[in-house]
Amino acid sequence: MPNDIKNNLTDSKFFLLYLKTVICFFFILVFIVASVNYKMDPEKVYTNFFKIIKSKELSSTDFIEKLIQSDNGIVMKNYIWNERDISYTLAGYPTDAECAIFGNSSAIQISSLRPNKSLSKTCSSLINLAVSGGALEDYIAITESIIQNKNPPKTIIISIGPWTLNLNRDSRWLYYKKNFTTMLNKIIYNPNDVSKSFDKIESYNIKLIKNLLNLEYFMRSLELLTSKNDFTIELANEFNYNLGLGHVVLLPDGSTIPSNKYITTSLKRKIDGTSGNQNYRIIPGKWYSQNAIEILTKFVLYLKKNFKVVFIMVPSHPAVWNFSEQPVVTAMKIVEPKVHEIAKSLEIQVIGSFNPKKIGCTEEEFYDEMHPKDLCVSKLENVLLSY
Amino acid sequence: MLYNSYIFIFLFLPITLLGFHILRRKRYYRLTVSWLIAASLFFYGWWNPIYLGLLVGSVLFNYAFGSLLLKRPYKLFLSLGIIGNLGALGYFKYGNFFVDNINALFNNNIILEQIILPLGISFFTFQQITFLVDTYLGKTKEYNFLQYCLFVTFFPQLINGPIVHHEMMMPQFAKSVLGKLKLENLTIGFTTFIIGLFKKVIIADNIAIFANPAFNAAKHGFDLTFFEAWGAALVYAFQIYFDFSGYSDMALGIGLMFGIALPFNFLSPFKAKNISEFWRCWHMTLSKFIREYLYNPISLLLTRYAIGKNFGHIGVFILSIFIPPMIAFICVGLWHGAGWNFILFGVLHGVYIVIHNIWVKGSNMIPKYKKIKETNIIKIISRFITFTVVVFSFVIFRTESIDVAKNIMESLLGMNGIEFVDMFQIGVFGANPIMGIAWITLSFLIVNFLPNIQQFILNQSRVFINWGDAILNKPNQVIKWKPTLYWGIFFAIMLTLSIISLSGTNEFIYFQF
Repeated sequence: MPNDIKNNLTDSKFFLLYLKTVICFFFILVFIVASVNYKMDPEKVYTNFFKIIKSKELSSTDFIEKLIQSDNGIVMKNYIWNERDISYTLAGYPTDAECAIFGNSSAIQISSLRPNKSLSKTCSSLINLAVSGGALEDYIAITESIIQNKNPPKTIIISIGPWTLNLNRDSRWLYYKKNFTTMLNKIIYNPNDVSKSFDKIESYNIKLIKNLLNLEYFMRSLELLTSKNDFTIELANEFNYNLGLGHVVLLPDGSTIPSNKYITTSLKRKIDGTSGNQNYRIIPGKWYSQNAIEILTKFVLYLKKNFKVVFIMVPSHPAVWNFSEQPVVTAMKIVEPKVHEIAKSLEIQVIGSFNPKKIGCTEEEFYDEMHPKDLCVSKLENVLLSY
Repeated sequence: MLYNSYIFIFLFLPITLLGFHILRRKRYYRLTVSWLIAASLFFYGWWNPIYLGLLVGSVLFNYAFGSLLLKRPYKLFLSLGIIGNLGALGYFKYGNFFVDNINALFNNNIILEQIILPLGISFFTFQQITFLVDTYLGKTKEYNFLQYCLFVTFFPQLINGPIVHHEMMMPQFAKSVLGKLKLENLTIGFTTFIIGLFKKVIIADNIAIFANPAFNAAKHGFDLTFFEAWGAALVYAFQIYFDFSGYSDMALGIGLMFGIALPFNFLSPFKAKNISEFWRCWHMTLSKFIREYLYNPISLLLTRYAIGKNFGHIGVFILSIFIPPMIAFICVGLWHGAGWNFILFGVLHGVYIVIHNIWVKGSNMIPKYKKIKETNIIKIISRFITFTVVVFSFVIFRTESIDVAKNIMESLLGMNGIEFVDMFQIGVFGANPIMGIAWITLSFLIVNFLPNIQQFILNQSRVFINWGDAILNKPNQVIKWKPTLYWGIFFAIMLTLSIISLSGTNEFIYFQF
């Protein structure tokens, strides 16, 4: 056999071995990553959080009961929670709270338990059902739980952010898509008219599959895997709310105190109003959709049958307002009057404003561009309009 | 469709590759080529099917003019062909810019709807102009329509280059040659693709996080300090390099999986010792196009003119040394985008080249310099100066307006203060200075001390070796890829890391051009 043919055959053997190695190891590694993500599931998107708790003989109601009865809340160690699960269960749990807050992360500080009490003129006590990335779809899904509550709050406070008057801006609500659909059927005469708006979003199942191969999720899964006492519920001892603890603390009213690391990092960081995440979910030009407004209107009309409904707007950092050409500033300038217009047509109250100057919030009263501290939040009622 | 997307990696590429090799093995040549063209059109149409019409129209237009020029090589036909191409490019790429400037200059209010720039228009337009010019000059032969279609639309180079030349591509699409399945090609191509994917997803996208805040701050009127500005400029220079060279590596790798050698686009540009060398190593196919089809003809024409008219030393200098590079680099700037910042980028590089040319002429007259020119210390100094001026110029590339570029450039020159204390407070490295510095250091080490893609792997590929002049670097003897178990495991880890990082991935910077 000529030498070059012989060499080619030897080369081919090595190339084949190499290719097999790359492909086999790749699939093994991918399988490991996906398995760890699925098994540890730090956000509990594959397995229901309360199912795990249940296996430790603690039902979902027990968990919320523990939370409500605790003096200082629960330390949310290792992120072994899905906040949407917690909010949904808390919404259905009978408490003496007068108000329930629907909102996103900028409303998560609203609390009746902190020294700087929020919304004291409107509610003597409240439960905060706000979730990260909370959108109109979340509010509707959580309502499905609240209407089953035997002793529900009397007032529903709906937080409107600069991007809330749109649909599909965040996909996390798909976690409880069934609850959303059930509720949408109740509030809208013909849900098919609006269901088209939700068709464009990627299937939640595809998102779940992709998430199995997500590095960030994998790092959190590893963190969970290597930590001890994974699923134990740790009650918080008395602590300084301004300093926080090692992990996020969920207060008995559902509001949260950020972790110490988050608080100290925010203190170190000079907020210039431009370099943060202030334009989150804002799409220039698409400031609000008529479809979303229509759903919100029908949603409020539905709620008004049994609850008092109030709109609330939480301000953004004063530095953000220094740069008027930023999409978020335009969004806030357009959406705020729109919120008032909707409130006027529905004859409901509006509390707060996107503009910190109107409320009296200073730069020090923010964690970052979009998240006010409790002191700022406690001043929201400085702007209160009844229609 | 992005190379760094699940749909491309797990569906489009394997299906296209499989279909291609099945058809090729059955010796259905026309079907094989048609399959590749159909896949390429699908790839292009994924972004916006409407613009498929533009691509197909462009192919038909140029093929018709090419055929006409083959039979009747008249200047008129060539001019019409070029005008047609530049007209489409001008409308889609420069229409809004032109109208905005006319409005500003004459206080008019002409309204032109916002034109969306079709993906890859600059690439396929230049590619086809080359074809027309060479056909006119008699450098091409008759190609069949399918081959021509594939030459323009072949998806690995379609939307982000490299700008391919018919001389290199057409022979590879010939019936006797097209895509012979060799494990060598598949293996080296796949490994090159992994390297490109890693560069893009792991390095470029991660380093981008540290570039954006400072540029955003400057955009909103903040004066960056000297260190902030240099930190941001460095980070951006590395980001754009890893982004674009990552894309080019992926393109080369995919091409090779089909048995096709695409031209190299990068050759360790940050190791360049002068600005002329930098442009021979950075976006090489664009540089080659500009050099061969613009710079050389203009330079020749003007030099002859200056000598013929006896303009004297200064006249000859202006017409032969100054004007040709300025025109060429203004075109390079404009090729990248319709904006004054891109024109300024071109002007700056034109000035760099002029200074370099003067330096070369001047230093050759100093006998002592000739002796020390090749010493290590001079090489290091040359590299440092070249790298610094290039990083400086990229600032204009990143900013959207001249005012912001001016602001950052003033900071780079220390005109806005040199404070070290506050550099981590805002901007460059945000709340994570250690990571920012780590990424800069890592990038610096990679670009300076690791072999480039040719030295590491591609000059072991016979497909590339066959294209002799494509291989410009000798293999690196220290770090050199071999089809071994260890390298297999290493690249499996690299691929896994890239795949699990895809969820936070961004578009390629060069898509906008």
